Amino acid sequence: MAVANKTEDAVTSASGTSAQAATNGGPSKQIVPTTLDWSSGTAPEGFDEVAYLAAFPDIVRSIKTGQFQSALHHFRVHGQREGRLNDIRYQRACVKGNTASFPPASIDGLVGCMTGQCLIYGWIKDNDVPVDQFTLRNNFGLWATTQTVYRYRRKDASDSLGLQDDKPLGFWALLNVEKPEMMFGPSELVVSAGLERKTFNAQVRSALPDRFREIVLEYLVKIYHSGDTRVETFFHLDNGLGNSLIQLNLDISKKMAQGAQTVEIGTPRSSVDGSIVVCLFGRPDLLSLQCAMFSKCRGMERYEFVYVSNSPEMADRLIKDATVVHRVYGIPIRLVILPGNAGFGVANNTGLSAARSERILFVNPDVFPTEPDWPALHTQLVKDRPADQVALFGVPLFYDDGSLMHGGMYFEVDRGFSFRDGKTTTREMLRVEHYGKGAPPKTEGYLSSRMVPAVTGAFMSVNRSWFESIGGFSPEYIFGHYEDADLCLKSLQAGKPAWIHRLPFLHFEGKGSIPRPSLDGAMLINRWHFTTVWSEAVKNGLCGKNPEGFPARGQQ
Amino acid sequence: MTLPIAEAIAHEKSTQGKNAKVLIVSLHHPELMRGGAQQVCYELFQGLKQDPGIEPILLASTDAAYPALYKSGACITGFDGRNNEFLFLSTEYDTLWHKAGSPRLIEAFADFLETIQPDVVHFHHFLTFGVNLLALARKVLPNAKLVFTFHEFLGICDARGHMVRLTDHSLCSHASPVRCHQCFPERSPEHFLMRQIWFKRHFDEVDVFTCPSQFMIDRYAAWGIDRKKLLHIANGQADCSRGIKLPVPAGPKRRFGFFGQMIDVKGIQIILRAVALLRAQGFTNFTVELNGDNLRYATPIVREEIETFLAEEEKLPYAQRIVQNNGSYQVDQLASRMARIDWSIVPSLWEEAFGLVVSEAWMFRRPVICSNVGGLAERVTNEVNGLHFQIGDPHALAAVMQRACTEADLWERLSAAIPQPPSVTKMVSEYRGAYGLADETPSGLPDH
Repeated sequence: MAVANKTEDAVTSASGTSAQAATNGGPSKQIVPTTLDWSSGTAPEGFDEVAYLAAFPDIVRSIKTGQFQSALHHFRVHGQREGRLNDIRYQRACVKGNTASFPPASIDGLVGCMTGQCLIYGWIKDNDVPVDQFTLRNNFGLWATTQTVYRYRRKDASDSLGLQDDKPLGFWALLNVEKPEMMFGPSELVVSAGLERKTFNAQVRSALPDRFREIVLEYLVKIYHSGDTRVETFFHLDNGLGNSLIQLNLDISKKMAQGAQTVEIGTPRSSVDGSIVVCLFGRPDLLSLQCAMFSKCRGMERYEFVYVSNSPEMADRLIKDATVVHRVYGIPIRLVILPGNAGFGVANNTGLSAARSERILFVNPDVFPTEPDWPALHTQLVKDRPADQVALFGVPLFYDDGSLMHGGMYFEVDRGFSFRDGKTTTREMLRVEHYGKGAPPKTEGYLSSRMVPAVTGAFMSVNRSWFESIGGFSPEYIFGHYEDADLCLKSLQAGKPAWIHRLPFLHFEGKGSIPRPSLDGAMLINRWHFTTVWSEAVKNGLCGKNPEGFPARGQQ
Repeated sequence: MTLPIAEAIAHEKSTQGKNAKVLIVSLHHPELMRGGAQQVCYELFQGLKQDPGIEPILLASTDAAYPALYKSGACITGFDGRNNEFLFLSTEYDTLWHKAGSPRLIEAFADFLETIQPDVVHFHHFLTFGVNLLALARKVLPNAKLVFTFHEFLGICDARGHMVRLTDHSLCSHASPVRCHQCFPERSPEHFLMRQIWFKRHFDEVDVFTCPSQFMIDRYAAWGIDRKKLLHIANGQADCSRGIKLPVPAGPKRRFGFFGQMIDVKGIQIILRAVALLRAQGFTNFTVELNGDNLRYATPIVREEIETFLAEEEKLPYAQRIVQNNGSYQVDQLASRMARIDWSIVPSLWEEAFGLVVSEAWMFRRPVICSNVGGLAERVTNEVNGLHFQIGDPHALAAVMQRACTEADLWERLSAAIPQPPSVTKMVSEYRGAYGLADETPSGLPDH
């Protein structure tokens, strides 16, 4: 990080006049509500009325004559169609030059992605008027701006400046770039804080989409909030950031799924009662461990394993391990290697297409059998139970200490508060809870067969046709979490609630992948998205531990 | 437990006049890397060669210590032109899960088994091979008998299998996910449950386990191995005295010796601290000779303690020196080294599985002063054929050493009661039983 006033790096503006006007308390920048939509003929975010008029003096005359009410009026009528914002005269006018009293600041980095987004991050000691706009431009036609700025704590900057308070000096912002291919040449970044402006030389560093997603998610969890972090983040997500990141993720995961390669290790079994689809991320060793344990179960010859890897760097290791597993335990493995992290849901959907059975078992790599006869018991269960009870079902999962980890899932609604500008705002957030979490191992009520609002994706047995008919796992969820509950609610909405049946497994929860900061960011977005999609449905009869028709405990 | 398969094999072999093939899988070759497990394994191999009904084959592992032995493209090779001795060129060994990770090596091992077609596969360890080779051996040779010999507790304990807690160096009575996590805070309790079920899954393939001491059997049975599968077979050893009877000098017995590896758990530092205590008390009329090697494998702190002590000792006038370091030794040097001592101190800081050094001392009628735990305490009977002291306590050792120097007739009484150490012949006979090749069921062999 460069902690210094970067005045010496500033680019001298071509339009000193406007800068002078701003410094002298001239007309302030026109702030256009961010809800205005570029595509609908309204002004884009950051439309600069002063710059517009400075760039096109003829419009000033037209306003004087009453032909147009304002620069924005002109833009709506003619300017957008004429592409005036891409006109070099307008873009130059936007860069009004540096004001003398621009506060100490540093742009630490710009990271761009070919999906059309650019992340800007750095710090600024903006005591009185906060930084409120970034405009990125270059001579190749790049022009992007945003007034949405997120703040986070930068202890290094505070220390360097000798500040005692914990004011969040750090900032980051996300720009949507219409022509991403223009992004990577020498550029200029104009930073505005009220009437203060400064132009920085900028070189956007390119990042692959999945890496870019990782970085942005890490920044998401850094956002500084004086109140409830979740609520404040939800508000940011409500204001477009959520949909923007979900779209980024959809683009990435779709590409990952399209790039899947299947490696067949061993001769596939001629017919099977079930396909076990396992999504791997970051822990290649679990393949060997899981296969070793499952291979000792009687009846495994009627099941096949499909492993889907979200970690391309593990490909060689997985192929080796799967080869060893096949030779040692006699288990054939179909290995689906993805070129990046498509996330739990999309990876499992991809694994499904490599599976051959009508019965699919989605199983986490850190799930291990406790009942050596489970394959036959599972097959029997699917055969004997009414179809509605086995369209989608889970099983009791146990912790390493023997206590119950999961006996079905239910939903609660959390209400958080935000206190801003003297106002109190509330926000609802759905929460997924587990029946009997931590209960003694033989708490019969939680183990018995019954309908439940949802079951965990750590072990989920589904009828393939039904799973496909409800669209499989929703791809909107980033990495993991909430897509299992989402699937169960889709199933319920389509007429078949999730069930839980007694077939115990061990689950070393959270040990299947390596924790990292971006996962927290993804989880926040997923919770926000899950709330957005299912809030009404949950509040309408599915809330709490005992919603109607879903007793918390079954009959003993 | 009956041994129908093995009995059938033995019967078939005898009727066809063929020898039963026993593949012995050894952690290292003792001539490439010294160590108790490989020494016992090789003694067994040599002993089995004398058995007219058995054809033993040795497969000993080696590692990067001998890169020149890794012939290009090979996974298993012969060893130095010897009949029925092979080298397993270990590679891609997964030290976290003790798993063979190389498909080529796996394939080579399977091919080796198919070629040799042993009737018995006797693993003396999984280290450098991979515990998953037990499952592979069972898959390739479904009718062979799988035998596994425990030399420590590595299957139970990830702390080198010593069951000494890394938190405070105390002895560990049992493993559990939380206790193991306390020793390795960076690994979760779940990891250790996974480790346990991973090992048990592979040990499940084994027909017979052997341990050289009874307390190990109890420990493994408590851990979950079927007690009926656990056999006690003491580690036999060729008589390294070769019939030599060392002279017994008259007068007080004030010469002590240490034999073994100079690493932390062998407790050499406890001897040095005891010497320092005695010297501080003004009791200096005794000597201690150190015989061993591998100080480089001690932890830096213990290594420094030992090196500093020895350096200070070197600075003293010769007449004032108590401790002398003789360095490493070969078996044929044992007689001369033993001739210079009266007592052998075995101050191990873990519960030794057996203690070959006890056997070596006994072969020369040297009473043993040892830690009061594990295999040592099981073999050496306190006040009968040796003396115990509280494990890890230099004060206790100092007191015992002073008593050994000063108590009249103590040495003679204890020396006279020293039992005959287990012989190779006895060990071979007992393993024959474990293999199901004995004419009669040996003592301890499970049957039902």
